[in-house]
Amino acid sequence: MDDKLVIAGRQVTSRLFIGTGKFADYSLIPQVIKAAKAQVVTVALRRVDFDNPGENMLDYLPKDVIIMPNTSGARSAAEAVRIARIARETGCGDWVKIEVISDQKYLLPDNFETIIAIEILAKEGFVVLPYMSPDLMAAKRMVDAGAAAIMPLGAPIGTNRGIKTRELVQILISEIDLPVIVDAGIGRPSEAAEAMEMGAAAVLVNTAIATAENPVLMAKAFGQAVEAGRGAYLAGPGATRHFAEASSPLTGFLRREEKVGQ
Amino acid sequence: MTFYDEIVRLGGMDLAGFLERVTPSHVTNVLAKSDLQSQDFLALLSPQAAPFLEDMAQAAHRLTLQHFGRTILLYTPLYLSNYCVNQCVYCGFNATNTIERRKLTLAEVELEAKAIAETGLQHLLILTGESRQHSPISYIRDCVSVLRRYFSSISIEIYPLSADEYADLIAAGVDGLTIYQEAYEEKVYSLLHPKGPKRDYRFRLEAPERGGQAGIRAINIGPLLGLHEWRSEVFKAGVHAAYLQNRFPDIEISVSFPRMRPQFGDYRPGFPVSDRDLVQSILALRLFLPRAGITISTRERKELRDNLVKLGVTKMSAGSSTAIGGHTDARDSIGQFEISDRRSVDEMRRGIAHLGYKPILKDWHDLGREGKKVCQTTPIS
Amino acid sequence: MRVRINGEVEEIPDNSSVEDVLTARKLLRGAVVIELNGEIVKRDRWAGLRLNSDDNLELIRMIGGG
Repeated sequence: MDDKLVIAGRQVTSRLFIGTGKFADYSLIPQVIKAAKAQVVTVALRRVDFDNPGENMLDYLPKDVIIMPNTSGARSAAEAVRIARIARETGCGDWVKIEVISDQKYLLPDNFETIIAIEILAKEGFVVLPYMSPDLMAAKRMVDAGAAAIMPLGAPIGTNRGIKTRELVQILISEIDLPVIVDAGIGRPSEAAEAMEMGAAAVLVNTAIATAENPVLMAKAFGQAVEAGRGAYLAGPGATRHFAEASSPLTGFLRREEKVGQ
Repeated sequence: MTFYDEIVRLGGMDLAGFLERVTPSHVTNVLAKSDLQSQDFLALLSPQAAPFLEDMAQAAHRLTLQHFGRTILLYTPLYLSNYCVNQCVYCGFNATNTIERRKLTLAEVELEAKAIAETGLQHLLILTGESRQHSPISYIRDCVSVLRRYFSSISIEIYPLSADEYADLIAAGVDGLTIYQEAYEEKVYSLLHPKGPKRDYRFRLEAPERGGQAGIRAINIGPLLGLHEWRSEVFKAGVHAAYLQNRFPDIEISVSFPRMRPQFGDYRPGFPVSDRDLVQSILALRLFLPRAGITISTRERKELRDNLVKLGVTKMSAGSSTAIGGHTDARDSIGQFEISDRRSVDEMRRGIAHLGYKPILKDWHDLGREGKKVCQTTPIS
Repeated sequence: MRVRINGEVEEIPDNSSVEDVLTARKLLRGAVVIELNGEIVKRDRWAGLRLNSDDNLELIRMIGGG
């Protein structure tokens, strides 16, 4: 079956995007990517810590992945733009996940600043995937500003609480023509499958895999759940009847009138 | 990108083939969905959906109650002028028809306004033929400034305008735009409109979005049923409405289903639409676009209109006359088409109430420009 | 001379280039992006670009993130 996810003209082979934060050891990351069959992988940017330089993250990423740096740490559009430009300088491509968070209590994204950042970065040729609070008007403005996909949150970052924003995300899936990728909040494979059954184009999972007892096994489970959910969505819902047989038919008048002779 | 691009895309698709291939289980699957895509809408317009009409009616009834409650908005048309330079082969105002041509003076407009306002109606639809000589924008603007003293909502159904001209009339007090494409199939459209500015299919097709850009509050579109094969025409009108809803989320979008009526002249519709076809069209549109307005005019007879109230209709005309000065002048002048439902506004109000619905005379009050958005960031195009 | 590197004031030899700072810290070139006074410095200019007193240097790299 012809079911391709295309973002900014590029075909993406997997609908499970993986975050690389919170892993105990970078050496787990290539195994996780392989087990999940993931292609898009997010990374972050930070100042070099001279006391503890550690290893080079890039050494652990397979050659065929699409690296999507995020702008975590940005509290404004200007900071997000600055981080995105630095990210591109690493030579890992044009993809960027815009993440502007000025709320330190719930870590909810700032849609307003995000829209401004998208507008600037899209003009500079970035493939911009904004992390956002699922608000329809904000999403429409993001589309107009040049976003390549829309990434609403299912629940606040790192909470593993599932798709608490279900109704709002469903509206985005119905109304937005770009891929809608559920980012943040997905804590279990069943929730990833739920997002895919709703019609999400992909999901982005980090904490749920990184903090599992066995991250590699969990990555595989998520990969299977995403495929199953997508398959269910494509298969279409069964024809359960919502409505009972009518006690008083609304179209009976048509039969009556036809007898009279039309 | 405009809706014309979308029409071109639809033109390249095999709609007839799709309609043929629809299966009964396809229809039941669509009926189980809560969010319909355009191909689902087309499936509901197929012959194979006809046996499911009652199921569709129950679902449409439920959705309409959910979004509109038990209400029917009433409005009436006011014909300002029947001068026309077009030769639409199906229309009583056709430039080649030898009928008495007239336009209302501002004093006559005021008399008509008073007569209509006395019935309690607050929503008015003003119409003219297409003649920039006899009914220019300035004339319409002058009429509107008289009428706005009597009505809370004034819609126009006139020749297509530029965005600037729409903005001009909006500033004068117009809040609604009604414009029917008549025939969405461009080849058919060309045949039906042999002469005059109306020949420009694209300028007419894009008129609703120009009105949207100009800041209109409500848009009402539709195909003229009977001119061409109804399934594809209703499909394209529905996709047009969906396009407008998507592009202008803050504008109230409605669809009308006018059926060809006998009029002065000898044109007879080549593609008659039965009551059953009309009902299927209305139901399919309601399921496709749960929050779109659906308008039925007095072209349809009383008994049918009463039955349509529960099937998704949200607006009806009342106390209509399609003749110039018809609200005050007893003379039997020739109208654009014949009226079927001749009930007075009062009788309509009682009739709707009798069906358990509330007739609405006013759902909009213009506060001037006060309601304009104060914060503009990235505009939605 | 004194420059600021990643927020810390540091003493480095006069006439140092951007490249010299990296070398002194044994940093791998491939993994690092450099901003000098808020402007990104392209890789091919690292060797030739001399630092001045009070310059503000940021050395940034990729890490794991979601």
